[in-house]
Amino acid sequence: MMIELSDVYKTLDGRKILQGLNLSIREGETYVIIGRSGTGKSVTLKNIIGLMQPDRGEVKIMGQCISQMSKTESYEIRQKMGVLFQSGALINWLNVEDNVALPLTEHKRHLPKSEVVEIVRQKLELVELSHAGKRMPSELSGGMKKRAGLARAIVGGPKIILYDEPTSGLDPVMSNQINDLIISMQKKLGVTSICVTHDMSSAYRIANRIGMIFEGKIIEEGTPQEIKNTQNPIVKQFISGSTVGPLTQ
Amino acid sequence: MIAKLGKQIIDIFENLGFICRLFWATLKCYKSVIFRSRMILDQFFICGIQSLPVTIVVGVFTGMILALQSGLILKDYRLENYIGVVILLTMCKEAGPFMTAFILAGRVGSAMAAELGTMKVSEEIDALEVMCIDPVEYLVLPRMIALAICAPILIVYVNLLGVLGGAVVAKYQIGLEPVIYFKRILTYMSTYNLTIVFAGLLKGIVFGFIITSVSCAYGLRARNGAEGVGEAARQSVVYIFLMVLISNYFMSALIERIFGS
Repeated sequence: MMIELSDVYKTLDGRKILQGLNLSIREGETYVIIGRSGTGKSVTLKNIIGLMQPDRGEVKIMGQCISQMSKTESYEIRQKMGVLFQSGALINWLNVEDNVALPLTEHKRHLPKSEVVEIVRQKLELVELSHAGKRMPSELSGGMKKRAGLARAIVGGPKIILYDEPTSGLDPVMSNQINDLIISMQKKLGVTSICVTHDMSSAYRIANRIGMIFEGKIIEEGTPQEIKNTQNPIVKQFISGSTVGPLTQ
Repeated sequence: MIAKLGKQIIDIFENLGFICRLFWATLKCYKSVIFRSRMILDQFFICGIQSLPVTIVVGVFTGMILALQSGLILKDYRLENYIGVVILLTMCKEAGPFMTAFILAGRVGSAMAAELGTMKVSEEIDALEVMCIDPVEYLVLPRMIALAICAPILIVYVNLLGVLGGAVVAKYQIGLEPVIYFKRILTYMSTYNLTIVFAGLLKGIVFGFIITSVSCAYGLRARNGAEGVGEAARQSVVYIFLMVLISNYFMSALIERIFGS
């Protein structure tokens, strides 16, 4: 297993967010986590990245337990991960090229500048953003910010990419472009992907498997087809977007 | 009510603890100073150079107010020739460092808290951590070094402007010729031990550390979107004012005890 969460509990500000969450993700697959807002999707992601430590339970990345690691050890694991944040999370005083180059200029200081420029150019080309390298984050649209964030996430050659609501706030065309990029990342780079979203059309399109979080646990898991045909009333209500059902009781 | 008061006291100590830990964590990044020199220069420009216009006004008017108030009293005792010395000592020992710290708290400290707070709520700090970039080394260290260098420089600048402003008031309101005003200052400076005057510059370094530690601590702990960022900026300025005020007293007492007599 590439990523494994076993019996993970997390409480924030007295609220029980994760309550015995179990999750296993195989190498090379795209796993989409769905669920209502505030059910712990982003908290799960942060536990996987190591930005949060679980109160109880284990988070294993490539067989190594990240929840019991020192900061330096977790840094080594994190260098094998790339994260696309909801807003792109670009550093606002650096232009797109410098943002994408940041992991290289910080950690691979021995690399000649020409090589860094070439790597950045390749990654920007991959996300179809070659023309915007000199632009500042404030001059980019929402979709461009996400693509720049994705270029930065893949610049270090990660084995795992995590996407936090990659299509939120985007128009349908841009959402599909991002979905295509996620699929192409999996195909071209062979990465394992975890995507947190509540955009069901996006989930069906990119996922190999979908898992739904409810009350801090995965309550249903399966292929997009299995999720579409589920008999679980909670999942059914969520994917149909109905206002009547167990989720709104 | 008791529970609320207790929570507030705990919050104060928790914040103080975080500020101290952040300061210590920043000091431990000293090896990266050379690597971060470009960012330090950028911050030096933002904190120091861009603060010059407001310091001109504050420095000149502080000196003018001091000259007016002390001049009128000294004139009653026919000691108006010493206005320059009074202003020099007051500016260098207390008013210069204090006013500079207040300018920096309001102009730079609040901006730092807001900037880092915005980065926190827009997940830029998380992004740095994911990229294995230490936010303390990347964000706090350059700001702290820049402010610790530019605060004493700004203090010297404010002191000089204060003395010049004092000379203007001494001439036009007290009737003291600038030649006598500056001659007294030079005579004093060549006769007495001026260590105590320059010790005021040490305060600048400490204030620089306080302003950066407090504002960055509040910025890095900002939550709840724009409201949280505003709250971080507001609270950081209040905290900086209090800490500057309290630490200034203890530093003044210590300096007087060591160099005073």
